[in-house]
Amino acid sequence: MAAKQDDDQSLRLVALQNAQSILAARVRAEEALRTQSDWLQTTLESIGDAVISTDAEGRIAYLNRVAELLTGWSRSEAIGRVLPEVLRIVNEATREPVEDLAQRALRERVVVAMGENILLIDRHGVERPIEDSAAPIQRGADAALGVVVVFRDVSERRQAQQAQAFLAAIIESSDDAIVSKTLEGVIRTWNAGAERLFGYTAHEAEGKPITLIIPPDRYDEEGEILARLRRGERVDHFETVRVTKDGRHIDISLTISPIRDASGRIIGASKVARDITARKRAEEALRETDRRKDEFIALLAHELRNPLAPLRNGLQVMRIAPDDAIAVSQARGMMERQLNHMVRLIDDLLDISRINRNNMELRRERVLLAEVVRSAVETARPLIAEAGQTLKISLPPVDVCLDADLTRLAQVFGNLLTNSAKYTERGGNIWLEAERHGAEVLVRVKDTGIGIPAEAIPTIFDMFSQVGRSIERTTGGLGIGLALVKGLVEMHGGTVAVESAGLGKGCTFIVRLPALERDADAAHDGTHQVTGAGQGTKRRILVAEDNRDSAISMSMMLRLVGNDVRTAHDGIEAVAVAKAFRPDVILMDVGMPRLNGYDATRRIREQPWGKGITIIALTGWGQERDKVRSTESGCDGHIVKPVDFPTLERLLTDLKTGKSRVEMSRRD
Amino acid sequence: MSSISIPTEPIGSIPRPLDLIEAAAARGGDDPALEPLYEAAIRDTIACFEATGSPVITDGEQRKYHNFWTYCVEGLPNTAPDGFKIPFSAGHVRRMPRLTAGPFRYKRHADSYLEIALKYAHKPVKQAVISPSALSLMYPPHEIPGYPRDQFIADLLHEHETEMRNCLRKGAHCVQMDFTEGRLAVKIDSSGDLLHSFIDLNNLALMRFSNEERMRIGVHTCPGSDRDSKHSGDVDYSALLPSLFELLVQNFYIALAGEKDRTRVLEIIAGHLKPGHRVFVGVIDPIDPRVETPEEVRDRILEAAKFIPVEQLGTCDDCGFSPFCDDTTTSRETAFAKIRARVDGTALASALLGGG
Repeated sequence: MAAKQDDDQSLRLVALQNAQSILAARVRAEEALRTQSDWLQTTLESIGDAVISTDAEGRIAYLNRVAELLTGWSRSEAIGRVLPEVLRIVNEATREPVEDLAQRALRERVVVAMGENILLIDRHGVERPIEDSAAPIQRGADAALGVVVVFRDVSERRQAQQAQAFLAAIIESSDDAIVSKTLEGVIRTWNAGAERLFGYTAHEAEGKPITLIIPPDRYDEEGEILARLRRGERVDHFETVRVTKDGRHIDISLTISPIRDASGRIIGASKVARDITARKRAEEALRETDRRKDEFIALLAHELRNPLAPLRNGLQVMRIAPDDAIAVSQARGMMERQLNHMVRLIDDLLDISRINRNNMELRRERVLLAEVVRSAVETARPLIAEAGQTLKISLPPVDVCLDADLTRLAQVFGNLLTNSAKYTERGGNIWLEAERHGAEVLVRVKDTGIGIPAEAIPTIFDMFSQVGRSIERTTGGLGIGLALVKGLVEMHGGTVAVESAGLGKGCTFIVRLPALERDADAAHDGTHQVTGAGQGTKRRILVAEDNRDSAISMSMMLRLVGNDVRTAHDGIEAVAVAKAFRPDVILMDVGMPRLNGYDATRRIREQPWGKGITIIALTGWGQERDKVRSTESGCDGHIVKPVDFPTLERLLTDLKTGKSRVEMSRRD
Repeated sequence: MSSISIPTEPIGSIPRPLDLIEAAAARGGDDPALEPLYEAAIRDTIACFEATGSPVITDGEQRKYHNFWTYCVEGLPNTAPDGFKIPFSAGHVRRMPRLTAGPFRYKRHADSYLEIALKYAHKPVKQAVISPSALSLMYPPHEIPGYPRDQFIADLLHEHETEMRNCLRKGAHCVQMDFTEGRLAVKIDSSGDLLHSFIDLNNLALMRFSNEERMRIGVHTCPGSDRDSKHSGDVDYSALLPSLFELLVQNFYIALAGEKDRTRVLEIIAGHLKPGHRVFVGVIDPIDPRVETPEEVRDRILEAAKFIPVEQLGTCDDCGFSPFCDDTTTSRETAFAKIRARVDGTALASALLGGG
């Protein structure tokens, strides 16, 4: 019995000593469990996503800090509530509540997600796009103990995605080529603009070296660009040449920027390439035009200066040998030619300017082609005759009527004939052939001259285009005659073209003009009666002109043909002289000092003695508005300076014969 | 028997065939020459078990040498045979080995027995393992130099967890922790400190498992059964059961058939049973040489059902029929007859109780 008691005592001792160790182990285990629990709790509180767990009935058992923030519910308020009460989720498009994820996860016992386009509405009504998933809390195959829902606010990501999509759309729709590449020069992305510009598809280009589009002779460029990028530098508007898939070389402007990763490290480059081929061409054309203009101005100065020397020489001859009738006559003839040449130059200049500024006005009327041709031939005949050339004219057997400005159309063919005469060898042939084709007339001006090289044909009608031709310098002229032809023809609704078999093989200008149906009653009489100046008809004429030389020369000529002439050099003086002199006619310069010609006219018209005087305005401006202005001031006629004397004589005759209104331009 | 819906399970041991007992006594349990005998015993036991209609069977612990308590440490070189003694009412004493040095390791794990049983079984196999609290008594009163008691407890828990987890992993229908020393602890230390210490230790082991795993774990308590006698039959269940239900398991196998006042025990069980628990009440007394009739079993169940909700009720034997391998007081035939009575009686009760 005692032994048994000893055994029990011993066993008790062992057991109780073990108990100490068991207790220590239990404390350690509980501490570990507590630590694990705390750690889990801290982990759930620390994660960036919202976490809500429920029991098997879908009632909230826990929600972490982020879930509190996103739902607007505090933990103490939320616990025990059914999930949809706290986690209010609606479909973004339909605004309908979405299925209760927790119940579905509990029912199906699988992880479920709501997908995209859902909104969480917090307790205060604030809406946020979220992404969520729910998983059953399960042990083995038994029924779920609850569900854990994890969700996150995707507002920023949504915005970033939208911004990224927007940016991608911009890049994709850009006309510019936008390409990215690595620092090793390997193409990473390639937009539609790049496909259009370089011809390679994205599939063909991506992954390939950027030298794909760099001409071999510019490989060094790429090395320099990459070196600058590695230094973090940007390359702006670098103009260079790249090669397309089909081998074309194109001018491009490159802007290249380094691409950095999130840590700021440079990992590649973006390249925006713009096709500047058209701009380069335009710049080149502009430079060419500018160059031609400079040459033209130099030539213009030269051409305007050329007549001055003979004019001065002629004056010298008249001063030195005023009594030598032959010498004076020769000098006057020479001076007239030079003066006419100069006037033509200036007229051409002014005309082309008017056409270019759309200020040219046509005085259209029903005219006969034959009349136009005759007028043109009159202009060109002296030059053709001087060169010993033969002009052959062939017109349709039936007259062709045109709705045209006779003067301007004659100017067209005059220029073409003059042009042929200039560029055709002495003794050469020139043809003017016209034929009717239905509703249009086709006029060819053909020569056996130096011809036109093929490369010059496309620009032959451009301003200054002939300036470069060496022969131009020997033949005189400004080289704007053909531009004038083109402008005037087009104003008449026609076209002009040129053909040439090449240098030395002559050329043919073809003018097409709309023709009118022939109307015998309206047929032009074909003549312009130019009568003499009415020698012996004495008029009292006042020449009001502030340019004294002009005034004196004009009055001299008028006196020579029998008129009584006075002069005045400003408006006030003109009124005073008119009052005293009571002229039949006043030639009134518009731009005079003290009182301009318009106002002087008005003052004269206000006087009883002034109402019957014929007053003709002299002006350098021949536009409609100028004519209207002179009419309004009381003028009877309007003459654009300079006035050649025969024209003036004809005008005075017309006045005498009762033509009440006279408008004369320089070539009338 | 397909109508059975009240679960019923054996506790574990079935008397070994005599030739095996004799050979083991002569050669020692680990002699490889015994392998054919072990195999034959296991195969026959499983066949007989299945023949009883028992929905859950065991290998009858044919390979547990020497007993349910020390099978895992028997033959360890760092043990001595002079451990504490377990006196039985029949007057004999079973003595446990004493740990003489660290570290503490199992020599064998019960899952090795399970593997063999599963080769022959056609029905779910249950595996019994010894509790950590039982083995904790191997450490001597005085600390082993170089091997502190704390380390021993830690090693013990690790070994137990390994054995339990392996059994679960290998496919045991359930794993039963034998806690026969619970009642013995009350007997030795009426203060309850020792029992609480045992509960704590076993819970330290059990808490290493998930709830799901614990649903396949049970604990068995009985007053011991060896040579038709008990080691703690005189201990009142009221001192044990309240603490027993603190163990972190779902299933409790409680010897009841041999109790003098079953009603009182049932009242105690009903007072401490928790939701989710299932109590397998003992309806067969292995010590009783008489084979219970199914009706007798049925009536015991109906009696228990008055105290325990039927959905939380199961039946079992009070104890193994031969926890110590050399116990020949009960024949194999009797053991299986009793088992059949349990199965049939449970079926009768189940039919009467409407299948729970």
